[in-house]
Amino acid sequence: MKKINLLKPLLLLIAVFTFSMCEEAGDIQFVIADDFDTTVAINGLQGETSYAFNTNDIDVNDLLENASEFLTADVESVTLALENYSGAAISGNISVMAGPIPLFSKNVALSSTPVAVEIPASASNILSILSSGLFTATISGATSAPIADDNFDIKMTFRIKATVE
Amino acid sequence: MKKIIISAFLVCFTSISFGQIDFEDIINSGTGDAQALLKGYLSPLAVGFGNGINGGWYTTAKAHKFLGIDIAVIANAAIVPEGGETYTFQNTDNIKFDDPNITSGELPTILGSGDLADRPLLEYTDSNGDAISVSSLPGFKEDLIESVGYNAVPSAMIQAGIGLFKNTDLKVRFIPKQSVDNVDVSSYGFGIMHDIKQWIPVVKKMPFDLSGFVGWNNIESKFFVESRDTPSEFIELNTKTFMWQVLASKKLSIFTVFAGLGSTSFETDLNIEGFSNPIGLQYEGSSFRANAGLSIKFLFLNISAEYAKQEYDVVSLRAGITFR
Repeated sequence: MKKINLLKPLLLLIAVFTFSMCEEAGDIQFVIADDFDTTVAINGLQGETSYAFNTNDIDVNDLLENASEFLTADVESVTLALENYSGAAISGNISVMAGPIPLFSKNVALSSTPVAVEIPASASNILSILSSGLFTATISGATSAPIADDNFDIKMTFRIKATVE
Repeated sequence: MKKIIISAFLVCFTSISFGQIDFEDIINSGTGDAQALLKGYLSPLAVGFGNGINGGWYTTAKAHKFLGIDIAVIANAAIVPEGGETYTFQNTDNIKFDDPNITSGELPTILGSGDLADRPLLEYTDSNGDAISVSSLPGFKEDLIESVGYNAVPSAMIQAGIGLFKNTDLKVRFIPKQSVDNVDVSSYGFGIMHDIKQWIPVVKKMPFDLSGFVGWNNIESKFFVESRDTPSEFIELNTKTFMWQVLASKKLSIFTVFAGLGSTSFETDLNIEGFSNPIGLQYEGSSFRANAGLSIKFLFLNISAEYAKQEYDVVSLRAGITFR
């Protein structure tokens, strides 16, 4: 019976731990895409035809919840909508920047119906401006008609796609 | 560095819990989504164990003399075929391909590719309607190949045999419950090998051995996801196998060549506990089995190697002692 006792560790060594002795070749990577909302309060612009506002910090650290670092980070799209606006729409050219990076500049009719702007791959990379998982955006524009309300919001939704590990 | 198998299951449990979405919430809303995702993902483990455990039952078709004995340790590797590296996933209520044009597609299994390029984005939606898109679960094929040189599911056995009457061997496999680190494992099984050549006129005088073999085996294992301190979170892998074969062998000096033809089958239950709704996955399979091997006997020492063609091909190495 002593032989059997000697064989047990050998057996277990093979049976159970062949897998578990295999080390991971590297950290596991994931691509994650999620939406991040921010709302810009627009006050005192009734009758004006241009504007420029900064957002608060947009925190994308949720994407890192089970990972330690960003390898890539891109804005896939920006969705804009008016909230609490007494007029019908605000039309004109709108520019959105992530930090110093211009995401787009184009004519858009803002209304309560969300409008999505796809960001070209050449302009979507925001990895360099992510600081501790935070970034700020700037929205500016020139309207084709004076702004009809003195107190409303622009809701901005950033679709962020990141590679993390 | 995490270890592969624990890492894989931790990935299942935690990697898709990003931000406001919670994978556990999806699982708890009904097991259908989890079943669809995990059954295919984990299938090579279940199928590999089911195929591998049947390796190494014998090294010769010649039965022991009366009360002759053998004791051996057997290591098996069930080689994962290309088809075992991916599985077909179809959209469920809460888990869908991120690409709205795709409703069904191939995802890597746990022993498939870990490359991001091979892992399409899946969109998970929880009970609040919140959604997030995440790469499908990673495979660990590259890690296995880098570590041990091949993509295979290992298993092992300890076996004893004893010669009875009429050229019949009884083979017994038994491992009492062993607990090491985060793993419990136990196993038992029985096999009967009988010399059928003795009953066939003319053939019984020919210079080789011919037997029939029937074997049944059961292995139970439990992996604690975090540690034994959280015993409610574990993965159970229980496999029963059955095999029958006709085998022949020829002894040449200290060498014996042997080969067999027959069938092998398995049933595996894989249970994941730790969520509000436990997940139970059932696997079964059967296939034709043809194997060939070579054993070397020197004094009482017997070493052999065997290759078996079956659903997952199996390489078996066996070392032990034999007497009479």
